Amino acid sequence: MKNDSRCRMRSHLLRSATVLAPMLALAALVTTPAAGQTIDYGSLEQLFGEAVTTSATGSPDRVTDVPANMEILTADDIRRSGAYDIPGILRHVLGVDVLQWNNDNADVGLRGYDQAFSPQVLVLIDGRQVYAEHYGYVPWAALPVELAAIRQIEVIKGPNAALYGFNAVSGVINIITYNPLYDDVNTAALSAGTQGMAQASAVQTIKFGENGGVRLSASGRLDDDFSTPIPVSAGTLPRIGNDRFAFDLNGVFRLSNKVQFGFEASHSGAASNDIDPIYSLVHDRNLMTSIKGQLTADTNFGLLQATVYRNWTTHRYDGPNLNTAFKDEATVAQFQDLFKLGAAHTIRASLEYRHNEVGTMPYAGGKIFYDDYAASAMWDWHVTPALTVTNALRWENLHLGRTGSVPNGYPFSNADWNKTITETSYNSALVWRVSEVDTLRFLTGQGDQLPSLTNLGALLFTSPFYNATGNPDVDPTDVTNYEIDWDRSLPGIGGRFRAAAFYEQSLDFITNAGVIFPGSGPPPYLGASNVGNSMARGIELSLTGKFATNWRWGANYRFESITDRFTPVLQGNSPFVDFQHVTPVHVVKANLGWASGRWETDAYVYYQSATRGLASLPVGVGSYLTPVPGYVSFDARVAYRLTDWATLAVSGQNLGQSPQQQTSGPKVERRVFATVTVTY
Amino acid sequence: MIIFSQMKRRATSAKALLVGLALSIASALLLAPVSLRAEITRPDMLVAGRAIGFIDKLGSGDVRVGIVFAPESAPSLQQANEIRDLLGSQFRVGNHVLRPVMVRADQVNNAGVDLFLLTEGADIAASSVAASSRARKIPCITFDLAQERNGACVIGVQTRPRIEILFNRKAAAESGTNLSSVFRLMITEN
Repeated sequence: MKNDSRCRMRSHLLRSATVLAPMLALAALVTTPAAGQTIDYGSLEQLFGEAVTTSATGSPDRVTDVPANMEILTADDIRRSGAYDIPGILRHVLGVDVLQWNNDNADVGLRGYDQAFSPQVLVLIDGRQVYAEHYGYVPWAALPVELAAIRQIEVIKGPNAALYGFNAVSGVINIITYNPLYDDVNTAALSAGTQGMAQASAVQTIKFGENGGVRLSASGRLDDDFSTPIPVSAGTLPRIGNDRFAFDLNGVFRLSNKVQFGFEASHSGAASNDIDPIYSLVHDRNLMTSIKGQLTADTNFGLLQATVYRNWTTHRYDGPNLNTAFKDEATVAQFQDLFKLGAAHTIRASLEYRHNEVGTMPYAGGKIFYDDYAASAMWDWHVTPALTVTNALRWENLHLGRTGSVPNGYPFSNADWNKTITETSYNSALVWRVSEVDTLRFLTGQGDQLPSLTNLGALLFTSPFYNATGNPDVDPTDVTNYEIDWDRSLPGIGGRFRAAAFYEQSLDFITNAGVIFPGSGPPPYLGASNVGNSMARGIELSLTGKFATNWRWGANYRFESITDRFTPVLQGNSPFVDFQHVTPVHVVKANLGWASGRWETDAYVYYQSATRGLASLPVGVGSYLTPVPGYVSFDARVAYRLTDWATLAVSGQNLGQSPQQQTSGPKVERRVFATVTVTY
Repeated sequence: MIIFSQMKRRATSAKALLVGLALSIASALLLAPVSLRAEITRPDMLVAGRAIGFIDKLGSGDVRVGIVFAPESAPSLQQANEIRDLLGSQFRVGNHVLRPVMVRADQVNNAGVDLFLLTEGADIAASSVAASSRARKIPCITFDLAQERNGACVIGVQTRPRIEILFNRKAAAESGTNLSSVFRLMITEN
């Protein structure tokens, strides 16, 4: 078996090498040697007068040139948002949906398709995946990053799987931190507020001349959850208090004029109440540990980058009927070459290997794992100075497996996991700068959301009353997006207008509990399954501007209509997924900010039309829809610079009606807190 | 009837306004100075200075910038003076300190500089700058995009209406000028 697996691995590596070798040879023949460095976002941003990103294609682009619908939140935006966590910042962004279940726990979706344990948005920190694949979700509170260490948050809407692979289907959120080689960030902050909030955070950079830098970040937070009643549908589990801690060490060193080595080590954790995929209140504790190494070299073959990282995630999950701890280990090795062919063509060729494994829980003794081999290429062609065509393709070959024991009456044997999933994803874009102020983008992309390891069988629950597990036969969800964007820069008001129209089709959505395996048990096993397809159509409009030198403003609107074609399961009950009825049709967001001298003030308003939310049936297995009225909420921040190095800020969230029904879970409460920040 | 008469009066006034506007624009165009050269401002110089930061051979620290001008060309002389005034005795940008050196077109071969900055209108100096750039491996940068396109300079800088950096590959190869690979991915090469 091991030999087979090795042979398979060799064959795949050979196949990938066959794809990459001619490209490298071509690069060697035609690229011009060029000295250089890894990406110094700050210098490039200052030069071009706009944010710079590599998240759309893997190659550096100015945000106005990217072949994708992307929003970039700068460090200024992050600070002035007044939010204390990343979902709170993202909530102000056009196209981002946030389900705020609890004080420290939210699920984030892009263009609808948000749900409890939202699996469709791939999240990375400096390119390292922090999306937890064992359950297909993002443990936002446990991410090892301080807001003060973030240079920018990049939000790409629509599939971008040709660059990132599986799970980049609704979009990608890449959190880019300051580079300790180029950026010197030293700050400490203390916060205190309602719901017993107490938080401390510090970021310290140590520079080693021009040849290296290390950044250390640490933080801790304690607070209480909302005190609003828990809906009956969410169960009777009493709440716990929230806590969070994080340590991160990030360093970049110049080994020579053309070679840099970067490393990162992090350890973080968060405990909070959460709403699980079957819409019951549970206690979650996520512990995340990671190490990463990255070597970048500017060579005659192009800009080479080799990255290796390993993530350990322990996810303790305590529900009314289920107490368990998933231990997920993911190892990723990536290699890419980025080079120019002639004056007009940029090519990125990449290989990736990923191994992920998790033990079955709470029935211990089994292990679900996969080995994924991927090869991808991107070709960016500047046809004319005004016209760029970008095409990217990724081929992915995933080998699924299971080892260990199975309980009596289990509907599968280990052999059922011996299967291969082969998928090809693409992104294609035409960016046409029609005039000095107008840009049109024609975009299409396709990607696949992999069933989580839980969906694939890592969940194995047995009891005398009911049994639940995953299903090795669940197919990935295939998502295709078509989109037209129009950007018009408005120098007269120092802003920009953007209109986007999109159509997205998702085939084979996955539910955690959609099928009963006949003949299993007793009692028979309930498991994950594909439930059908969904189509979304939408329009996004946004306008930003500045006036009277000190004021800035923005307003945006999203219309979205989703049609689900889901098969009723489990004796006709709804299968815990419903996007047609839970995605708000109209969402409006606006902000107004003023900064002068020592003062900075910002206000944000959010409106969403009436919708519905999913809730767990009190009897039997399945979900039902509960009304969520339309609502308006307000966030605000006022900051005063006490000295050149100290700032006092007061921030508030959900400042309107409190408590307010925003989801099918507990109502959210107003939160106000003060922060003293020292920058040195 | 009264309404029609008012409408007629309004139409006549609108016509008069349009004719007036057209005449004003025509007069403005006829009387405008021949040179429409945009003045070099501090933001323009910052863009150029930051682009210089990506030239591999310049490393970091002091860069002697040879402002090449043709004394007989008024626009060239004017731009050279503007740039000299902007740089002052030194101009700090990124990891570099730019120090201006005024270089007459006929003194290019002997100028002790690390970089040529070819002014607009100094066409007469273009060939000697290109030759000196090749022979002495000194890169050349310019705000005059025609000089980048014709190969006299390696780098052309446009700041309005949108910042664009142009890079002449042939001139770069001849003058041994390398740019950071990352930077080259973001600029327009020809």
